[in-house]
Amino acid sequence: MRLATLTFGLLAALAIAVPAHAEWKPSGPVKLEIGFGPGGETDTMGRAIAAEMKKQTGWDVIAANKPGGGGVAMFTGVGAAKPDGMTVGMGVSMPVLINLVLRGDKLPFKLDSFDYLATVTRAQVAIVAKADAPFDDVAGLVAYSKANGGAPVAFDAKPQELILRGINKQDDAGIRPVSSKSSAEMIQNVLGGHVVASFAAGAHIEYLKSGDLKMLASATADRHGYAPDTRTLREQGYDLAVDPWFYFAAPAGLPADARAGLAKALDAAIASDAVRKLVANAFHSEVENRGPDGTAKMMTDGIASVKVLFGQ
Amino acid sequence: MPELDTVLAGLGDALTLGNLLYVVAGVAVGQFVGAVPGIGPVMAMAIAVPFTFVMSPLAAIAFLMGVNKGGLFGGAIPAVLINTPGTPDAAATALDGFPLTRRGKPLKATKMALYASVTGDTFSDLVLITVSAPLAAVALYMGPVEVFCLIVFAFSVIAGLVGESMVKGLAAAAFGLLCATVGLDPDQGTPRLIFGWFELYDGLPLAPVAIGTLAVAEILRRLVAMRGGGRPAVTIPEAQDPADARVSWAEYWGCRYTMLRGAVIGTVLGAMPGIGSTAAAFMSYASARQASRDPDSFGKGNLHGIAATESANSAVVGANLIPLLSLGIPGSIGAALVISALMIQGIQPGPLLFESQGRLIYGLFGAMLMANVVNFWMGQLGLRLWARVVSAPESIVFATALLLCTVGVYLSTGDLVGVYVMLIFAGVGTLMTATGYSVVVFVIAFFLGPRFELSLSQTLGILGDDPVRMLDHPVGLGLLALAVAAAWWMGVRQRGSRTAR
Amino acid sequence: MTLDRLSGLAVAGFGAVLLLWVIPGQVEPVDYGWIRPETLPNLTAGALLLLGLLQAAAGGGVARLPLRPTARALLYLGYTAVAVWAMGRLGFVWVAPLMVLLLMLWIGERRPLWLGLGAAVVPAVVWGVVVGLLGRTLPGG
Repeated sequence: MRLATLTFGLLAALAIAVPAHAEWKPSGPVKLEIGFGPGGETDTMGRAIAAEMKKQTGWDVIAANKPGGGGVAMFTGVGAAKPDGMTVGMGVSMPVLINLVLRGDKLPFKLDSFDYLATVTRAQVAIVAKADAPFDDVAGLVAYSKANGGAPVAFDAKPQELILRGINKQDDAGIRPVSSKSSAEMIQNVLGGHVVASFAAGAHIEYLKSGDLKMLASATADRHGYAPDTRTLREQGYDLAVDPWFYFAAPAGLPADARAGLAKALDAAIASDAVRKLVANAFHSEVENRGPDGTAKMMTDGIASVKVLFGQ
Repeated sequence: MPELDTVLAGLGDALTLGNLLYVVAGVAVGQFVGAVPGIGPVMAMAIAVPFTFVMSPLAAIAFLMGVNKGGLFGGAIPAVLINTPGTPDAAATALDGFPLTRRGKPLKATKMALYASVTGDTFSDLVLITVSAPLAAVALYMGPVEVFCLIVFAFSVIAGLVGESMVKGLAAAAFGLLCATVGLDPDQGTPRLIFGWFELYDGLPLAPVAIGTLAVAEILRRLVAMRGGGRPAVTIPEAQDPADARVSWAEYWGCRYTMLRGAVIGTVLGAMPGIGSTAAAFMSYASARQASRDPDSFGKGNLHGIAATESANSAVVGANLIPLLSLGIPGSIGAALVISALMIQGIQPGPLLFESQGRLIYGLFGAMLMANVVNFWMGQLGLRLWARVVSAPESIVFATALLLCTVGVYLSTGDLVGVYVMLIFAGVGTLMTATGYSVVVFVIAFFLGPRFELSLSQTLGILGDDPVRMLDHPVGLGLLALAVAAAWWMGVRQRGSRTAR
Repeated sequence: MTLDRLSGLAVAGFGAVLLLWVIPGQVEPVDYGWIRPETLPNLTAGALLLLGLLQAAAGGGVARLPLRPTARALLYLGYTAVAVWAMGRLGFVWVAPLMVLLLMLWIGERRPLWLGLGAAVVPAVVWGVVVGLLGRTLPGG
């Protein structure tokens, strides 16, 4: 008896199970490869979706970890796998898009090496500062930086650094980007006064509630549900945005019925209460599945917006 | 500070028979899984997290705390008994633990590890429970600049361990730092030295390198030394003096300052996110050796060596929860795993955790203290069991250990590439040992390398092009001064001991 | 020249190869930032070159290379690598028992009880725990 499966089953027993009547059936176990190491939030989400799919469809779905570069290592394997519907990968859009734009010639896959199946959610990226900072928006941060001979601002992903460089280019702000490894580390450095502002991808929301931090801008394309009054970077006059999506893809050339069957099964699993709750807790956001076509469009549009970030 | 009745209610919640059973189960799983060569304490936690999904929040925490504490002691067992550490911390324990085993005193060595582990653990738990808020405020003050200076200081203290040849020791350290630069660079995020292996984007994975150089290389040595496979892997003399199978109160009490120093080093470093237990274990070991009247006995089976490392690395684990509980910031992978378990339970970690979940947090404290007691008692049983297991013939013990290292690394990296990395570094470790380059120094530098480079990049970013800003960081300057002093003192002491010989 | 000094030459050569060919080829050039991607690799490779030359000139440290045991250790390592490769191809279930059995025979173990325990019970327990209890996969499965 697989205890992990059993536990997920019990968890999801609270949810109303909607059996997916997929016409297509895999001829063996479906391998769901997660582009992150075991134990993290993304791993937990991938395993929850795998367990949910298994429960709803009765397929043998096996989740496996393949960490490396936010999904680049995993998609390298998935892109080369047989398109029979038995291999599916879950990764994050931004690192994949950036590598496609920057070093596409060295990557063993291209945008069209995959059949896109579904999105799960997107990270709520924001720029935050300590609550008592003498500014409330990006213009204020720029002015502060100019007045103080430059201001250190923390980031933990390439696109965030590019946004800072974009602001510097536009306003000659002199912001000094400080590289970090995680949201937690960035928030610690903001609270400790070691940097004057930082990016954050959801972990900041509790600190907004506690009054320790304030939010200067939404760094995604839209405003965030928990802070409807905070303007996006675009609304503040900077044509810069990041939108990291968690998404599913399989090797290109899937038979039409397999593609439809997988997409349907993923959609039902993503819509389940167990996965919804988990996404709300772990990522501070809502599930949002754009379906096969929407996911493909998200990736194509993503290439364009990443090129803008890199000034190409 | 929460109301007294919240405290009492929380502690009361923890002290039920049901929770005790979860703690016992957790400690048992942790000690067992942690003791399997190639798996280790962090992996034990990662494996345990999915089991907590169906438990109540407090039961889940009690179980995980049990796994965490049990796994930490468990990790020392194979290091001491068959010299196959899976982490650098355990390698420090093996330095003095394994020589004792070879002299027929495996029970004495493992017991010292257990007592020191529980002592360090209890110390940092008490610090966490009583003064975590002020300590967290101090830790917040330690930014990237201070962390960078601290790592420099740690390097200067650990340099005392390079052994007889300074040149070879430095070369091993340089090689460790070099290996740490594989993968995305911390400043620009460009891939380095990956030779087209996209699996190495996040760097050479820690577990395979440590297990390869430390554990697998030792297994290979033992395979070579075997004749016929009939001998037990570990022999305890038939008519053993009972004093050699236990740690007397006098021996334990004699290590009190060593353990106190270890516990303080572990607690301070553990309260600061991102440093980790490796630096703590080796700083404690190096300073215990420096403080000793007989430094040459270290590495040959000195109980102080075991006490120093185990008290320090166990103290780190409790202290890692200080930034987690008071600021919502996880200080280690283990703490991050606790967070993900909490989130599955619908509990939001963050600065409001104490306010909104005060009762649960005191329940957690209760569970931690329970886990320490349980760890102590189960450890007594467990180490006898393991001592019996390794009295099986060496042929099966080491063949099994090799298989377990393979499986363990496969589980932790999810990929055969991780296993190949382990094998490559087993070869590297074998060659280094054969030519007299310290593998332990290599692994320490490899583990501290990424944080060293990252905090250097962050420091430069914070200081900008104006070195005068360094004057705003008096703690950092103080640490750098200490580093210079430590290096100088170490030099004097080494020259002194050389002339004495 | 002693093996001890030879090891210094090997280290220095490794550092030189890194500096001259490997690092320029495997690190992307970047023209901004606080520290360049190649800074630390170059520094450590340079240190290896320098320390290796020092070692070759001065010698010192534990100097024996027990050639035969080291070669045998590497032989066992090669055996393990082949076994792991086969495991990835054919699956843990088929390869692991054989890997343990052959290794034990190679070492010189001949007692059927211990051979059976190592080749059958150990892999079965590992499979049972990892696949059955934890629901995770093993190599090749």
